[in-house]
Amino acid sequence: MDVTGFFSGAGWHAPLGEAGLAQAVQAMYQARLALAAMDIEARLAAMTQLAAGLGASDWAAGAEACGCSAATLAFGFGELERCWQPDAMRRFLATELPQEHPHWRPLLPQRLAMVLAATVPPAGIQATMLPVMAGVPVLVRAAARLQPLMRAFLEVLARCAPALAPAVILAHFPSSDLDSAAAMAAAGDAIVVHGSARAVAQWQRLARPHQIFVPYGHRISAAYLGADPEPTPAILSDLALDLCLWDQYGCLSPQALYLQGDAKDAAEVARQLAHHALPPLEARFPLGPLDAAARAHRRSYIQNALLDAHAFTAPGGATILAYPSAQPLTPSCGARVLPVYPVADLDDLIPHLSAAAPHLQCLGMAGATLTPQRLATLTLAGLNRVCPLGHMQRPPLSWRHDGIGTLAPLVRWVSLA
Amino acid sequence: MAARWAAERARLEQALLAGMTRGLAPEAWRALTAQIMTYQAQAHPLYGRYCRHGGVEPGGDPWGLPPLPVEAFKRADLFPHDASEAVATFFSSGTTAEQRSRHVFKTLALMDTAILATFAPMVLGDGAELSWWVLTPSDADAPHSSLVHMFAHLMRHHGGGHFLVDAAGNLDAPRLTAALDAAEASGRPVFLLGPSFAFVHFLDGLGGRRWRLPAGSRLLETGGYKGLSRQVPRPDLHAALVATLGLEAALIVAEYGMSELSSQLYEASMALALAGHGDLALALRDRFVGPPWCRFAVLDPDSLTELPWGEEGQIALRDLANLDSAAYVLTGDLGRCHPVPPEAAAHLPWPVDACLQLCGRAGAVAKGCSIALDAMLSGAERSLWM
Repeated sequence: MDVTGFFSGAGWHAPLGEAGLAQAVQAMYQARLALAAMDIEARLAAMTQLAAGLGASDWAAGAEACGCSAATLAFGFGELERCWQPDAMRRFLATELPQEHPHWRPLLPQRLAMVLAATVPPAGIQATMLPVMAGVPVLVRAAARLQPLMRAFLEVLARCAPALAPAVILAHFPSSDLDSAAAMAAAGDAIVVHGSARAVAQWQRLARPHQIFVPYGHRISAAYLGADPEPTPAILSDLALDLCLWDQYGCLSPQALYLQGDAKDAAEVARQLAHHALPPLEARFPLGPLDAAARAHRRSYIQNALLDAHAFTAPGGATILAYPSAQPLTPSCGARVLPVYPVADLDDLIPHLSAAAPHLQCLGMAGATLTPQRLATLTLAGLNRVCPLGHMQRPPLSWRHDGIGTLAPLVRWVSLA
Repeated sequence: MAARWAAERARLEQALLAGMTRGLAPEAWRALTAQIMTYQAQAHPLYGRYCRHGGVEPGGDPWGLPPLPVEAFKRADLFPHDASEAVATFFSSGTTAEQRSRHVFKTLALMDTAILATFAPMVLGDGAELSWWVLTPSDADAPHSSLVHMFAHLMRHHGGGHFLVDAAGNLDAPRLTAALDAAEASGRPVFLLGPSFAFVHFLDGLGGRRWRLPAGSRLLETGGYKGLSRQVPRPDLHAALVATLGLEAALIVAEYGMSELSSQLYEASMALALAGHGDLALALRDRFVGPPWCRFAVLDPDSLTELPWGEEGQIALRDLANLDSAAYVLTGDLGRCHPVPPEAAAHLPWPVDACLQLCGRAGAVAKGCSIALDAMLSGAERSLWM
């Protein structure tokens, strides 16, 4: 779809501009009334139906466009189905929008402008739908690579949860169309941006003082293998899953593995990962398509690593780089290339992770536990999630995204004296 | 470095210098390449270790040795000799020392010979007398720029010229416009040389002024923009230069070089135009050729094997003049190999069967929410508006 405009339950409207904006705002106003008229339990039920529909749909075309395999995308939507259960959603609402306090009430925006510049697809859809569940209509602009997927998502939404469908409006305009961007930003009383620091900064410039602006920037995660117990095949399989899902392009994807041990241990774990743990997962979740620029970037990263590291390559191309000594946490080139660094212990690990401040997001662990003191140190670097290996890419609904949550940062509080 | 390797290095240097000045036939190039690759794999500790980590024995088939990525030039230990033996160090542009490549030279003999032996046949084939104006600082003000070194070395051998940028990076535009006025009035052709961004700055500041430079005037532009000006696609830049300066389009040439190399590639079009073959020149716009000791290959990024002509892949260069660093370099650039029509090849300074088309840079598009390395280092991320 190349036209500038927006898509709602009533079809396409073009252009977005001033007139289109008025239409979009009017549509959101109507959608908000309709959501408000729905009982919360009805909305939760619709979300559950939607999740089931997403889990059952064929995502091959959308996967191709957004650069991941259909199997990975299907897994991601399966995760939404697992997470969007009524009890979990009630707990989520109670946590992020506590209603019980005698003196304060949370107030959500009436309209939300949502920018999905660069994000893992199901995370973008969850970010869109949780406000809708809470009664807030959303005007979404997705990056070009996500557009086909978002169109397909809206079709599933209309089919499986028709009562919620009018509350999601998909805007479409080229990135060079600054007037439409300004119109979109003005359409919400809050703006949420998932994207790079640059994308966040560009949208922030469009925000007006009265608007709530919530940025979710790009971040980095790591994995750690302690020695108690020693890594087992099951633990390495869990790590391999974390590496394969979203091809290492997610903020919860491990960009490096630190392990308690020496260079020999690092090489042995790298070998086991490449030759035993990864092959079945590569078969289940093939690497998504990469263009020549991305493949060359990956090749340069691997070749540069060979100055210090030994490479172990899995049959599907995943490459594990065993280093003789640890280095500070930095992003890998993605596409399943994982450096493995030996460290003496958790105390040795902390400064390497802290080097990623303030972008640190998640630490997946096995064979060790963080003391409160070490945890406190890492939270200063941005860490907001610690989980077992195999769960890095599968955050529960209760995870407070980027440490701030999804609905909580949108809230204005009403004080009742 | 052991005495045995020092002697081998000296022998290779002499052989290469002889080849650069007297010619290097394909068989001689193959023999010399094999010797230099074997020497570097065994005598350069970092490269030898790199080969072994890649599963290649340094003493094995020299044609199986892997290209070293340009990122390796960020490391001090790439220079195989004692640091005290360095006579020059050139840095790539970049914002922090950590991000900049450094190319250390034990001697500049090979580089300087390569510069002269390539430039004149590719750019000065008509023997014209030109007034040189260079849009960079002087080598005294920028001693660590390989590009500035190249311009300074060329000027020393071609009758002098003028640097137009001061040590603080300010272009002396009034002096340049006066030089263009004088050329227009006198009829003496000029030669303008500089990085692409400098020409963009110059054009942006002109306020619509135009010249009709004397016949034979020419211009060499090189390099990317590196955030130093607005980015202008090369055809648009060339068109603007033609319109503003009244240059003949065929007499604008692009150079492909980098601080990690000692040799340069040039668009083949100018050499053909200067030889009086404008029609052939047109066909080879945006097609680069290098001297016989600097050969390119386009590799499959997955396997590092050579791709068939016409397919897009990662550019690698065998620049034998990189005797004290790495002769086989894997760049971060994408390109395609194309055949050179025999009728054009016959008018180029060396036997050439292939030319190189540049297709862009390696880099991962942000697919998800994982931060990119340069964003983490610089605080700003590469991905565009959306």
